[in-house]
Amino acid sequence: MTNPLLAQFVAEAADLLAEVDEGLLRLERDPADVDLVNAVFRAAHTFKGSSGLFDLPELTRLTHAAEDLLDAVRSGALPLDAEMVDGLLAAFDAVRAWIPVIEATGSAPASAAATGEAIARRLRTALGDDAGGSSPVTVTVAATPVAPTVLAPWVLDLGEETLRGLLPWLEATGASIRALDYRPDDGCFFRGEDPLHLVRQVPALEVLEVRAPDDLPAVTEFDEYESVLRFTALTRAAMQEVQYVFRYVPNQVEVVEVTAAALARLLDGGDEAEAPTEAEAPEEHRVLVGLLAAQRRVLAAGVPTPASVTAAVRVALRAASALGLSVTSPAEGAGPEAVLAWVDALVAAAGSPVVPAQRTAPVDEQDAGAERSADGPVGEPATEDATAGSRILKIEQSKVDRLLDLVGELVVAKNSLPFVAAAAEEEGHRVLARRIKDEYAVVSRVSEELQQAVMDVRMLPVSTAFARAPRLVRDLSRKLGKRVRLVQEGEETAADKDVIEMLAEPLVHLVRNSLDHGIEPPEERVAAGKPEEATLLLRAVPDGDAVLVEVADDGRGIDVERVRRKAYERGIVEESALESMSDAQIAELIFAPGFSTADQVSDVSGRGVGMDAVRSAIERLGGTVTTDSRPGQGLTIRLRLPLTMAVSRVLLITAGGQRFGVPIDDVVETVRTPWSSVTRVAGREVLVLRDEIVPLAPLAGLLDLPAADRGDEVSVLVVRTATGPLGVVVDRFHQNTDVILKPLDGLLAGTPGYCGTALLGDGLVLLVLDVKELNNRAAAAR
Amino acid sequence: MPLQLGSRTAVLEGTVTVEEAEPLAAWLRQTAGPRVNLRDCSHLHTAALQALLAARVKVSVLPADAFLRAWVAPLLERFAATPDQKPLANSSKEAS
Repeated sequence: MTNPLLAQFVAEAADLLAEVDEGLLRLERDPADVDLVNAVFRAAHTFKGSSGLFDLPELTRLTHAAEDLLDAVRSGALPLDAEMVDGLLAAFDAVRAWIPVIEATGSAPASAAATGEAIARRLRTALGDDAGGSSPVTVTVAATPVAPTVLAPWVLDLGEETLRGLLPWLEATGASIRALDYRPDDGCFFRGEDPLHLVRQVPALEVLEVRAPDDLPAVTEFDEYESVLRFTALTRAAMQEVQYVFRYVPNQVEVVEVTAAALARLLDGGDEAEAPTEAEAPEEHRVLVGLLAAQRRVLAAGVPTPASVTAAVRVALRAASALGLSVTSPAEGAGPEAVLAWVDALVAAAGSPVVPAQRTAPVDEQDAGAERSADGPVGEPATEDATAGSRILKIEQSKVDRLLDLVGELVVAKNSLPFVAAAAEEEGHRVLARRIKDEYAVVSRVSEELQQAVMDVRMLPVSTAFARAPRLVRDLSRKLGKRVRLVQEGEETAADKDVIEMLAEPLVHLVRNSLDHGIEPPEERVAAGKPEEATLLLRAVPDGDAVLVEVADDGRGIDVERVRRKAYERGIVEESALESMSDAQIAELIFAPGFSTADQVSDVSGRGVGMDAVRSAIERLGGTVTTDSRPGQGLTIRLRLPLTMAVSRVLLITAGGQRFGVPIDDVVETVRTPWSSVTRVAGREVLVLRDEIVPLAPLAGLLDLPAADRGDEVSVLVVRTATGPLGVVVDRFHQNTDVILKPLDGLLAGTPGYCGTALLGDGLVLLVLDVKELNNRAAAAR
Repeated sequence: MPLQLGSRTAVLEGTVTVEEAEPLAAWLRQTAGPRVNLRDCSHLHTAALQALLAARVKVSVLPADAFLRAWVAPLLERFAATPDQKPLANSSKEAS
């Protein structure tokens, strides 16, 4: 993407869309909140405004429709209902889907026009149906006083030849095109206007004619600061888009719809005489308007039969298109009332000189239309938002990561100072050694603070990960026919960006799961004596170096019997093993790969990958998942996540003559014990620790390293694994230390058994062991 | 600098703003048979455009910018072709 403005737009789009989404969901719950309506409207408006900077007519058109609807809601003309929210969400979902394509190609996807049109129509239907009781008719009411039937003579300036070339196309497609006449006034340059620049922004420009006055003076006596040019153009862009471009100079520009009929009339009339003016509308026009009015009377009088309604609609349609109005027929099977309103709107649009519209509906609609065009396209003072946001700096993540890398290197360099001090002391420079140690303390403190500061930059609130939940809960509860209230707590709890980003996906799984399996349908809840509306709680609390995230529902909890049966049916656990498992252990089985209690795969969940995926994602983050099921009362799933992934604390050990690191989170304890206390069970060496049997495995053996000689004592590193504790026999333990863990890359990428490398203060490259893989190897060796 | 005024040819680059219209017009006044190179011009302020039109300037290199190439360059050429009388009003053209 070469256009920096577009890049910025794409970056902002995500924020704005999230804002709109969130606002809409809150609004649905509390439609009376005026501030909220305004906030959503502003976001939608800003979005539309920014999209207008680029050649993205589909986007502008769709967001404009959404904005109109929101505007009607804002003005109180329309109560917001679930249908409208669905429509609005669909509109912004469509936009969200386009953004990546726009980012990559600079224009909306090919299908955008059709999708956008469909959604926009849906939105407009909601607007039309309820706004003034009028029917879904799209009569283009030009903001200019020029009636569409009679085109202003300046259209001819576009060149008769061009217009004639256009006529067959207009006739064949039944489409219309917009003609605009822009006459900047003399002093417009002094107001900072650049007419050519405005014209340039008109989307889908078909023809542009720039005209200079006939008496354009020679350059010698020419005043370059007096604007003399005049611009006439044809564009395929919608009326609103054109008006939007010229929103600051509405009185200098005139835009008209050009339809085939009107154009033909203009061209033919233009041959003979001056184009007719509005005042002397041709006889034909009056007849057609009369026809429309007649249909209106037919519909209004008595009880019309379906056949007479259909006939009236047919006649009205033909009359309207002959008048040059662009018309869509009323909805199939619309009642007589709706059709009547539709005809009313047509009559009004035709500017009927015969029968004044008696119903208030079309007048209302026109007024609403005028209001909309008056305050809709005029730029909201978005500048306020801009200044408020300027205190926040948007930085590419890679820059922060680079900073973090440098801090890591600083830490490593700092850690080498004690070695230098030791070397100095060995050579007899005790004073020097002391001074180095003092300096080390200072550098150490500063670098730790620096590291903390950089980590803080990367911190994001958990609310970012929670953001998708409200929408998900709304959509799913509607789909499943359940009533669910979502409660969020502790959204401001912060964690590293990587952690938050990787948390979002598992959370979606958990929320889905809860709604699908946990929460009962309303009847069942009432029968069980619970409130009809279920509560789903998303809570985040800081917990030392970690964040606890809970997804708790008050549904039916884990049905242990069902899980037991399904686990057996799916062959996840053998029957004999199932008998001996505790309820808690059975409940854990929901995380087993391939487990699903759903009898049918729905599009919500039940594919048997969800919970398994959740656990592996959380474990990849270095976190843990625990469940707390209260049968009949609900289920709480607790995720424990490290605050950050960048700095890990590792325990240094030596095995087979090499140093390794083990993530401290995996370590349960370190034990030094005489060999005599090691016993053998079934031919395997085990250690009995506080009445628990810990199988032993020599690390050197697991890593194919030469085993060291056995001393009197054995050093056992007890680590936590999915299958219980494992005792890893090592040569000796060292201190633990903070390292910046880097994933293995290059030739080493994907080497099993290690979760990464780290650089130590003395320059040694430390391999950090992957405990899970060690356990697999130990199990395989059995 | 968007304006490079040579002895006969002016090279316009980037966005020619309203401030540049004045030096441009001054140059046009004192140059006989002026030519203009629009290759790297991305936008031309209306004031600059009308100065070029009034001077019946010849376009020596067409602009790369699509909008200028489609609509402005032909306009300049039309004016340049009709030195001392009013330009034809309707030499219409189709959009490509």
